[in-house]
Formats: sequence, structure tokens, C-alpha cells
Amino acid sequence: MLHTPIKFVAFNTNEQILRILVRILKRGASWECSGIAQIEQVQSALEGKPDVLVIGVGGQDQYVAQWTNYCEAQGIHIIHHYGGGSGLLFNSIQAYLDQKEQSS
Amino acid sequence: MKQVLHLAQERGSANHGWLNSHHSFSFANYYNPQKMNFGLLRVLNDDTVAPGMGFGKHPHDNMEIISIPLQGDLEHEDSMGNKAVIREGEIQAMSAGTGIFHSEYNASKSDEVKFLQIWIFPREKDVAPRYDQIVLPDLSKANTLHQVLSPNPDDAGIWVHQDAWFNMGTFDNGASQSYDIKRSSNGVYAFIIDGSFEIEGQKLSKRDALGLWETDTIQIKSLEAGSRLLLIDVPMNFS
Repeated sequence: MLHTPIKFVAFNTNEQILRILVRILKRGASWECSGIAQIEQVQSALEGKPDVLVIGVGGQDQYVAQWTNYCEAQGIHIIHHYGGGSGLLFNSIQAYLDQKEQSS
Repeated sequence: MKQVLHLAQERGSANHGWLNSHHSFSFANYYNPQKMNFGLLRVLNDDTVAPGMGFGKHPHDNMEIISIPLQGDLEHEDSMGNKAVIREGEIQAMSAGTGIFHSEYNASKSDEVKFLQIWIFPREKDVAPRYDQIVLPDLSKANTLHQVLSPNPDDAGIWVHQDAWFNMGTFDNGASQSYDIKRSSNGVYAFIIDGSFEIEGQKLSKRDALGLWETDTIQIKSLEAGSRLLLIDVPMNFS
């Protein structure tokens, strides 16, 4: 998992938790991550064509709906992140990679 | 009625020396796509922490986190200024909401602490973080299920931001009890803490679990004296 190149955008309005998420999402040898704390900046980050959008605290419904539509059209996977740190995040990434492998 | 059986020995496990953890569902380095959750119950970790050791400061968000010590005392400190020791016979709930940092240590320098940590997806995201801790009712009264958690602040036990109910009980050999699931869209995850039970015809030993849904009532029978279980009644889906 850690050797598969993945480009993440992580959104979380809790900046302390966002810093931790970004650190975790750079743990893979070929992982890249942009951390976004301002909800208005997510759309432009998505236009950089990440593989995965990680949505944490502060994802208001109308924005999430807008991002979901965009991501579905662009083939960007969405992880709704709960739990703060890495306890569930690596599970979600593994599930994404499994899904990607099955669809290829 | 639908059911899923999770045997104790089939749980994920991680032994870090200071921490010996068994995961009923995928967690950290344990990943089993068949065991991601039971409805909105996402984590059930059965942890043993060595004396004086513990989890340093770490974050949580958007999760209802319940800790139940089974043996020993757990020291908690969080970013809201709470500092407390949670003891056997007590229950702690934390609504992580928009974010909380906390640490958990074994309060004893000589004895292990054993506790269950349970994570449930919240009914709504981004609530204000909160912490609560209560003394459980007298669980020693045998052959009775005691409600220890609910969605209602005015109801028995601690409360969380989810339509979830926990019950615990200790039973004599041969004692029977029925349990009515609280909502038609809920299921119940029966986790055997000690001893053995027969639930809906399925024999279960220590740390086995049986998840049941699409039913109104379950039948429980203790198969040995001092058998103890936890019933986790949770929504099967986000409403």
C-alpha cells in the first residue's frame, strides 16, 4: 500500500488534526498530500486532479454534494474520514486500493 | 433474522508489548474487508495495557468513543481540560465532534488495565466535543440486563449522539433473558465478556460475538455461572 503512488487532497477545518492527517498521508514513499482548511479552496485543489479527496471536519453538506458530483465525473475517490488519526485512515486507503484493483 | 458470527480467535490482533489489542473490526494495520463494521458500530477494541503505559496525546473527530474498563484503572486527559481516572465499574463517553486530543494511560504502576474501546459513527457530524463519565449501576445484580448507554441524557446510563443502546449483565448458569431491539432499523452486536452463552441457538464463548438484525427480539441463555455480556444495539445504516 505504501508504495502505490497516490495523490491526496485532505480537507479538515480543524487545523491541528489537518496537520496530522497530512503527515500520515505523506507516509507512503510515493504519496503526496495537499492539506486544505478553507472550504472555498477545495474545488480548486480538486482541479489539480488528485486521486483521493479526504473529507474530515467542516464538510458542509452543500459543498460535499458539489465535490461529490465533481469527483464522480473526474474519477476522484472520496474518503469520508472519521476518527481523527490513522486508526481508520489506512483501512479506508486499503479499501480504495482494493476497489481500484478490482475495477482495473 | 440475519446474523454474523465473529469468533474470538478470528479477531485481528496487535501485540506491541505495552499494548495487546484485539480488533473485532478492521483497525490500524488489521484490514479485513469482511469486517469493517456492524451497522454504525465501527470499532470494538479489546485492549490490555501494561502498567504505567498508554496512548499518548492523539486526535479524534466525528466519532462517539466509549471506554469500558474490565479490570484496572485508566487515566484520561483531554484538550477540553478533563483529567480523570476511569475505573472498573464505570463507563466513559466522548463525542469527538469537531475535534479533541486526548491521552489514555494505565493509572497503575503495577497492574495491567483491560478495557473495551468502542467507536460508533455519530448521528450528525461536527458537534461540539464533549466528555462524560459515570459510575455504572450495580452490575452485580445477576440475571438482569442493565442499560449503560442510550441516546437520551435523561435515560439510564451515559449518552451519545447516536440512536444506540448498550446493555450489560452477569448471569447464573442456565439463566435466560430476552432482549427487545430498540428500533426496527437497529441490530444488536452481542459480545461475550466472560463465560459462555447461547444466543438464538448459537453457542458463544469468551470474547466471541454474534451480530443479529432484521429481528425484534433475541433470546439469551447463560451456559455457566458468572457469564457476562455486552449488547450493543445500533442502527444498521445512516438514516
